[in-house]
Amino acid sequence: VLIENKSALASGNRALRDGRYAEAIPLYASALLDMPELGKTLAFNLQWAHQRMAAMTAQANARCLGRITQQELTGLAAGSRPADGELISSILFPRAGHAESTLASDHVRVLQVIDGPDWLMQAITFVAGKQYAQVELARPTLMNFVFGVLYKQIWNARVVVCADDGNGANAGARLASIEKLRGTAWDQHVDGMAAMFDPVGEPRPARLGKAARQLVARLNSPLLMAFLHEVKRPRRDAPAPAREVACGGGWMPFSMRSAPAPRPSVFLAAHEWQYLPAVSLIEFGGIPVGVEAAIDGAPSALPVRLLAGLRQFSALNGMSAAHGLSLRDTTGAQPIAADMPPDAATGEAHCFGPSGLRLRRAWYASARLLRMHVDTGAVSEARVLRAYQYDAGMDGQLAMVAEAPLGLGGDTALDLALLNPYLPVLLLLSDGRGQLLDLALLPFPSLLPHGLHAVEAATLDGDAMAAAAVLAQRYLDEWQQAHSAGGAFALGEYLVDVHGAIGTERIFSTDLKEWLWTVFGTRVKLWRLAEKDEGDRNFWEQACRASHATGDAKRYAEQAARERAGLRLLAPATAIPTLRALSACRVDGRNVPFRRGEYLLVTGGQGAPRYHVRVPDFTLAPERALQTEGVVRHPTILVEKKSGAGLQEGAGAAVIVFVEAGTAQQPELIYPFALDGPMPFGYQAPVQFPSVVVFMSADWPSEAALTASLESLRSQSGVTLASVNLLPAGGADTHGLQRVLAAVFPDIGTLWERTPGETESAAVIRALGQRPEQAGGHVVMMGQATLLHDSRTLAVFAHLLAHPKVASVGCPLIGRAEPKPNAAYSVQFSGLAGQSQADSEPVLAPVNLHALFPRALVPVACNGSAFVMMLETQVRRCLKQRTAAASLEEVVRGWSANLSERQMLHLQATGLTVEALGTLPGHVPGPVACPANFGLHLHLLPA
Amino acid sequence: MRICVVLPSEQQKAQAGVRIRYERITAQLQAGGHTLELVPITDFLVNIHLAYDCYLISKCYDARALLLAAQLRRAGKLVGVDLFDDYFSQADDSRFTRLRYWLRALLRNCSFVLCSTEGMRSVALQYAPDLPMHLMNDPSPGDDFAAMARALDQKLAAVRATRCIEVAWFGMGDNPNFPVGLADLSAFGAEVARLAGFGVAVHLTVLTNRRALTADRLEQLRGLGLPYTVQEWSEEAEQQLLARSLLAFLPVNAQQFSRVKSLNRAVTALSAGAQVLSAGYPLYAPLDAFVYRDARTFLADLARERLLLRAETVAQLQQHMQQLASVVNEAAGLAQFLAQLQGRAQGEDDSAYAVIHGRETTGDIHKFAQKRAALSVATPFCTLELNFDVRFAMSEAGLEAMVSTKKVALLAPAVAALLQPGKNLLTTEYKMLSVSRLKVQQAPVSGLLALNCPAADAAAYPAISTAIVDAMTAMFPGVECIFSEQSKRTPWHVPVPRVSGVAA
Repeated sequence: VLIENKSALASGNRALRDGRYAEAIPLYASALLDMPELGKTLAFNLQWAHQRMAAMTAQANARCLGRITQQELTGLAAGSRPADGELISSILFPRAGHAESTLASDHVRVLQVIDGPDWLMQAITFVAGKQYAQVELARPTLMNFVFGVLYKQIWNARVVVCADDGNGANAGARLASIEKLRGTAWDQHVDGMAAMFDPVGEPRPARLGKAARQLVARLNSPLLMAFLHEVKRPRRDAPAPAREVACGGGWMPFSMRSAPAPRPSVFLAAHEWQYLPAVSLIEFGGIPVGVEAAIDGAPSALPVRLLAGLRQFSALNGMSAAHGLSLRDTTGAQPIAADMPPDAATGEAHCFGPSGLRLRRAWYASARLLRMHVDTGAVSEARVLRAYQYDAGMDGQLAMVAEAPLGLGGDTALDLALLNPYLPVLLLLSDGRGQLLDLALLPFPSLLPHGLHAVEAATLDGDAMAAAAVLAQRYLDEWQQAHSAGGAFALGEYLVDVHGAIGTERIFSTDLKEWLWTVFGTRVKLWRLAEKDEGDRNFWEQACRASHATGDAKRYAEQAARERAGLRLLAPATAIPTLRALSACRVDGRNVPFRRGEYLLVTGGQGAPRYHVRVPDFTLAPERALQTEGVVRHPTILVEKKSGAGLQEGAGAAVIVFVEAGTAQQPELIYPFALDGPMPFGYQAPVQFPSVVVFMSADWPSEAALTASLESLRSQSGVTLASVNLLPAGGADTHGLQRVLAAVFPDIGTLWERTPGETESAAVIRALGQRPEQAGGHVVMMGQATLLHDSRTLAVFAHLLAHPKVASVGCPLIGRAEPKPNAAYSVQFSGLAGQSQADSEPVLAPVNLHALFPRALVPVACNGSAFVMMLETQVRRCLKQRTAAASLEEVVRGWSANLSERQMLHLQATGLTVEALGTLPGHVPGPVACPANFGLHLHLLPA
Repeated sequence: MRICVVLPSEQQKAQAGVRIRYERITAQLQAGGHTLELVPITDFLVNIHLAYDCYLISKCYDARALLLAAQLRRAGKLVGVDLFDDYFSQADDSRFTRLRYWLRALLRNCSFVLCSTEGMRSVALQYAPDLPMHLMNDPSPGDDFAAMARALDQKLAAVRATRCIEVAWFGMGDNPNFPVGLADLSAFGAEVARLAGFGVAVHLTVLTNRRALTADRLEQLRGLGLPYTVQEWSEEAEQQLLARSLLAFLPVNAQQFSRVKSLNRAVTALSAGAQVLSAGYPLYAPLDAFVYRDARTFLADLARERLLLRAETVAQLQQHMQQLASVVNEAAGLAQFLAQLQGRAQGEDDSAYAVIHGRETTGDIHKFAQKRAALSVATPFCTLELNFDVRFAMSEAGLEAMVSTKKVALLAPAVAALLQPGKNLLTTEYKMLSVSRLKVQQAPVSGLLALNCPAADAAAYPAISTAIVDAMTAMFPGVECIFSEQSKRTPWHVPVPRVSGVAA
């Protein structure tokens, strides 16, 4: 044996010298396994052969069995090609400004963004892994200061903070940013960090803007004002970085690179197994996933847990029988098919078995890069972790998406370059030679942090990883139940309303559609098109279709059956279905776990608020309303096709709606871009030119403001102003007000002086009593000094109020937010919605509904009295009961409680705004409980 | 025929769009006995430029073009507009009110419309269903198909050797009004990412304008999940990138603005010997035989070394280019179309014009109007301090007009009799006139204007604009009013007179 192995060593050496690296590797590997006394030499030779072989890219790729990617933790783009420099951006401050990049045109740049929930850890890792002699930080933000300190401490780099953009144009804004920073609780930290930076040098005063010079003088801090928008190449002679950093009372390694856990000296990469003599390859999904020492062994001899996991993975992906588990002799003998036991237990989600490995953290670092930390526990021998996905689109093939040796005791970081961010991930643990030891399954990886379904995990309490594991297991069990019953999923059809869509929405992504079909056998279907869009039918149908939908006849038959029997979910194009809705099993007599008008709302990027939304059914017949309106404002579930029965009561979100930010500046969105056309609404208003009575009880900041407001009322079109009534507070200059009112409305304007002790509402009642009640008349309450910049405002309100379930209508109130530099207007008030956090009782809270529901109609629990339109008959009834109330605000809120009992709604029209004049209304004092099922309810999800 | 393309500025001559659309056909037109010259609109300040037979307004989106077109038409010249960006069909978007007004007003004086695509022609038809229209495709950059065949072989050999696919994305990365460019790349980037991993690596190079590289967009790019490099666009860099790239990725979203774009980018990429992978809206359907619609098909073809564009199919591409982007055909088609129109334009007596300056206008427009013998008129919204010919201001009694003494002679005699002594502003002497004496209907808006805030102005704008047009018509009989309002933030309304054949 020894001679043979010596001969293997000699042969390996010969192959290496001749450049036959592929042959050398297995020879060395074979020798290593049996000649531990020569381990050092053999390991060196093996490594050398690996390196040389990798250099021969074409050959290496030709043998590639799938994706072989062990990307560096910090280097998504590293290694692909040399870069002159790197631009570091931070998504933690994505909205900090829209300043131009400082990219220089004559430099090739590679972008790196720090992401993830543990950004500090990532920043440390990044810095430790990227050695630079000089670092330029383009913006004076806190995050950049942290970077600067880290580069200073770890690499002793020259750190410059650019507070001027070279031409001085944005200097003021940037300096303001620094000032702002220094004025916060962080100022001590910033001062401390800034002190570590390089002293001012090469200031190039000629190019220093005036504001920048003033800043230098004011700050008297050692910030270097730099104008060279370039980053030097790494300094080769830089000192080695420190290996640990104090963190939370302990010590934490910087990164895998700077403080790697000891790794096994030898392991065989998957593509090298085929060179091993006298082994059988365990094939799964069409590629080898491990080796079996005994050639006459059988896959069924694998541990039951492994078999069950593989079976579960196979079922989830709908893998064909040809891709089942089998053995293949490396000498070229025929494969031996192996049956997987049908009664194997269902695999556990996110868990390893006896190996003791633990998936500590995992998150999406980019759209397809899943980054994970694995706790290797007490592992003391060579272990290799490989990750796989099954790509149904390429005629079915398993693909390896990661391969990494594990550290011996401690954490191992692993990057998975996923084929598809939704498809199940299989994690296989083997020894250094390839023998399978353990397995873990991520059936729905998009539940992991920063995945598109992560918001579902946020609905559970506790750690995001734990919540994702719990949900993954729950959905897997549900999926298994439905799958075993022949595809008895509760959801039959997923229909998309493409009104307003531009094709870039997530629901149209190939990844999502292929996943829906592969795992759930569900397809995306086009809801009806507006007549004007009929010409685009082919395009939208194509956009909804999965381009490589595969499957056997059974799958198609199951799909057809479920479309006949299941629920139809109709959603806007900005939504994707939740895993809860997709995996739910259809069981007769059981409530479905999701319901109409309940969904999750994700706004903006990471860190932006996420909500669990419940919208009441405010239309008598949703289907009819949809037909009339033609647009899906809120996701809805249509009746079951087969039974014709209505939806049973349930709870749970069926879709996730993404509200994209950044397509336009917020002030542009809310003002003055009123719709040119009428606001769509599912109810035809029967009244033309409705009669409107206006009551203005606000404290007017000036006669000028009142004049403007009255003139804006007079310019309203589409309504008939019956009367305009001023109800000034006691002590007001009624003569002046009367003069103004008479100037604008000489015929229909009336000023009502309040008698001593008379409340606003009592005054309104008195005013109303002076005129006969008009059926179908409308009343506008202006408790706040407001101005209507759109001449169609009252007409739209009256139109909306014609709906039999709508009691009142309001819209967001906006006000000038001076002196904010970049926002001339901001939303101040937008109706009261039931809002709750954690498990607290819902309260009425002012919510910026416009940001959440742009250009929509939103039923809220209560409208404030700042600007609201009601039916005259309702107002009379309401006020008669509540004349003792002190203010209209209280009247309106009290009235809302009464309305809720009658299942009436207040409607917010966020497609319109009115501007507040003078002092903006404050928040409603104190929480007011409201019925949870009445009006819009928002549950703020934890970040 | 002598053709004058009127551009907004001298700098515009260097823009890629101008180079592609006009310069590529210039030589061919000359060969046919025609001339095509690029003239900045500012040149019309000092020169009458009446020597041309045909004037083509290109990207001059302000009142200068409206005034110039009106004057040229009355001088008996053929005036047309070249439309290649759709800012006109978003009827529910008040940001483009000014452009919808611009097109309506311009078409009143146009004899024809030139369009870059069928989609753009559909848009134009909504505004001018009866005007003659011609579709001129963007011509391709060259016709060296032999060199293309060589380049194709070299690129394939490079992929064989390196097992790395170089992918190019090039073009404008942003638009101030629409999510395009890098937004599309981010949204459809998964199509490129899925190329990697099956025995080949992928590297993406993004070549775009610097303005587009904001933190938000860089963040979006980061989400692509594949290695990429960002470089600033230049013509030279684009040529170099396409010369070394196997594949050009051209995603297109389905919003109206993107749907009517030309085939230019695909034509450019194919002409450089790059394969094209397009995702999203099938804008490049006319080139379907050479455009991949999904990454997997491309990979499969690459493995077979039978890519859509290869040495054997170059001749077929050549035929396509002849139909869709031939310099010869496009130049000939344009010349023939214009020749048919010759003689249709008939001169008329010149009219009086007034350029009404709104909230956002420019000194250049004011100067242009006065040099072109038009009245330059300030509304109460105008904040520029210039020597206007007429100024309207709001007083308690309603609108007051100040008329430059130099223009009093143009007033209707009955109106001139109503003038009151005025005052001097800047270097202009004015006479005063109360608009209320002209029997012009005025809604009460003084209170709104006094607030001096955008919301109040928005409420008052339509009423005041209408009153000013009525007043100007009464003061200067026969005057044609042209509005100069560049504001995107004010949902303004002004009356646009209807003319035969032009939709309101």
